[in-house]
Amino acid sequence: MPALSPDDRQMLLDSAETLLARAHDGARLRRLRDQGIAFDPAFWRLMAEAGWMGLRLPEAVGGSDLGVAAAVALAEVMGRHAVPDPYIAACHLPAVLLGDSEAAAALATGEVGVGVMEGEVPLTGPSEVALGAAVPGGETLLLADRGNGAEILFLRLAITPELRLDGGAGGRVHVTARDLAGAEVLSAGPAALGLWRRACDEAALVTAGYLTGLARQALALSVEHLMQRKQFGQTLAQFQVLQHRVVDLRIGIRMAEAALGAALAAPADRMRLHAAKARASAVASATTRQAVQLHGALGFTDEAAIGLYLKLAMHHAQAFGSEAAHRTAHARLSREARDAA
Amino acid sequence: MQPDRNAMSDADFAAELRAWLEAVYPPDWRDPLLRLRGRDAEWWYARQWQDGWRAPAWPREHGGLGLSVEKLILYHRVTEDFGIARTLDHGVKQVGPILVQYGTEAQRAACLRPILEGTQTWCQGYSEPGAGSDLAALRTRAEREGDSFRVNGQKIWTTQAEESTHLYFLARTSAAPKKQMGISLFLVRRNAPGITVRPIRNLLGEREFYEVFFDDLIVRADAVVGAVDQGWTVAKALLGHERFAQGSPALARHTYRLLCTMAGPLGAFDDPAFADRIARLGCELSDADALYAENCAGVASGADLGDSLPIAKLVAAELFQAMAECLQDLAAEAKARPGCGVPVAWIDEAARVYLMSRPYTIFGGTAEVQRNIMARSLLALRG
Repeated sequence: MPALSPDDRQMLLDSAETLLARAHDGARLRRLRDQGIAFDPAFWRLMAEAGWMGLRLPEAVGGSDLGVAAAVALAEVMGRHAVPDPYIAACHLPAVLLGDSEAAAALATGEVGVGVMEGEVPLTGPSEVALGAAVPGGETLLLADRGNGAEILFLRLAITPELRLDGGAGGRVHVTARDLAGAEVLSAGPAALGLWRRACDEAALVTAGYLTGLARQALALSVEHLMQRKQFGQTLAQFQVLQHRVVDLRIGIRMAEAALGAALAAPADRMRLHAAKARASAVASATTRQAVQLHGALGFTDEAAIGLYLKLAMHHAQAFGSEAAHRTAHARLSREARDAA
Repeated sequence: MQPDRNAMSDADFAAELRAWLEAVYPPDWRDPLLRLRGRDAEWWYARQWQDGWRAPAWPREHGGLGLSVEKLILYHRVTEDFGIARTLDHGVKQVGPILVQYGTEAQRAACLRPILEGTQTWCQGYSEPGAGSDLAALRTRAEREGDSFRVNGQKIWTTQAEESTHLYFLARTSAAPKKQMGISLFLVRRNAPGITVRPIRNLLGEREFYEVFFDDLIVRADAVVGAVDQGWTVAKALLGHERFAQGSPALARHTYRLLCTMAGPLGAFDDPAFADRIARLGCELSDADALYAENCAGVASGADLGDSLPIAKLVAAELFQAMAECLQDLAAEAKARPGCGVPVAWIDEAARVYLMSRPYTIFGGTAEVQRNIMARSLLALRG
């Protein structure tokens, strides 16, 4: 996997800014929500044309194999623009799982997205399963144990789309015994578990990028508001209590950036990953909550952009492990390291 | 002349420094919470000088090690990991860099070598009863009388004033429209007639800081560093690239280790509430480490660090306090369970750490003043 050069990174960020400024805004987000659209194929194709779908895929299947750092950089821009589309859940995560399979090639072109089962515990029988996204063709990846150890299964299912109150898109499927029996096996044995976990880790890291970009923009919107809005004869920015709150949010965001950078620099260090996602989830949640508070009553209206950020922070803070889950995992590894020493 | 170690590999450099510390550093002093003073500190400065490990950031032509930024970062990392005690060492940390930048030949000749040898030690007279966070409000006056200045006024929070041989201080030399102007920086012998000091006992029971009184102290004009009335600018001259060290979470890490050590016999990791609190602190420490490492790398590459240095300093101080608070709560648990296996000495240590951590959000600009400063640029405020 080639390292992402600063030039490549800048090019990717510039093209992402340009595309999102043109093709996405709050009005689109509200339209998808109001019309109950959980998956927007037109926007998905736009992202594919920009090359984003192949970012994490090998060149052999039409990807650009730029690696996780590129995906994190891209996700930061998506967070900044409050993009609700399930890029991480239905593209990045399955890309890691699919590798250089045929389905991966279809993923790169933007013809399909792939829904992936939430969680890291193998399915042992027929069940109702939550997916991170609802894709039109029903392409689905499951982690299952059909009696011979863990396997990653690829199948097509009828997905019921679910638009959640937090603005995030997801889906639900009923997996039957026949579905399980007839599924294509992508990977089996300990390798399957390892791959699944690696994919979830990566998705968590990319989501940390999304949350960090989102938090930065939520703070920027709040700062703008504080500098314009006047009460008691002065701008809100003149009040020291609000100044310190803004500084604390800035400190949190800077810590999230540092944690993310450290995790990217040491891909094998799972403690760094857990710290990064825990921090990003906490910071994006705190920043957007405070941002709504700083906006006053306006912040609770659907019309103001800041609420969109709050909801997407709610969704992504939980996706691929909440703050608490990652913090606990960090503590477990930290204790194991201490016991070993 | 001390040896030039910049050409060494990082590994050799670290190994040599570590081996030297193992060989000469008194084991009793391996405690990052300890601050050496008086004869102990002087012994350590002299030893550093004899063995060629003194003044890492000073340029070589002035007798320092002249370490590159990369080596300087490594120097701090190795000494921190070893757990050496802190020292005030205002001579090396403040006076030397100020003289290198603004001093006259005569001032450098009189001070730099003795500072390196550890025979000249410095204390700082900046704060005053009416000028703490608002340092520029200082009122100590130095009035010109021919070739000299007559100084009257009072300083406070001067650390280790009694045992220091010299004092550098700020005084007002002219009335100016802006309060930062009209201030000058002076160098003086601590035992000069007209200077008296009085200790102030702190919460730990130590007499480490002092009030300093000037009663018709006469200072020659050639003891002013830089131009008269330009002391505010001069005082801010530090070897900029060493500022990163303030953001090191070393004390937080030390306290975290104490926490984990005490948590063991108490079974605190199996108590969900404590476990979660320690987990939170562990993540915080990991992130503070990440920011510090990023700052070190940024300083080394000459990148614009923006507000990252003040953030790291604030985070390190507040995290040290949070760790100390958790440690104190563990100590309470240990007290409530006699026979649990936690030595009583650890309980006392927790109290010491708790008290010791308090001033970290006060000195060098309170956490609140630092937030004011950061807010100014975030919110584009004037002032």
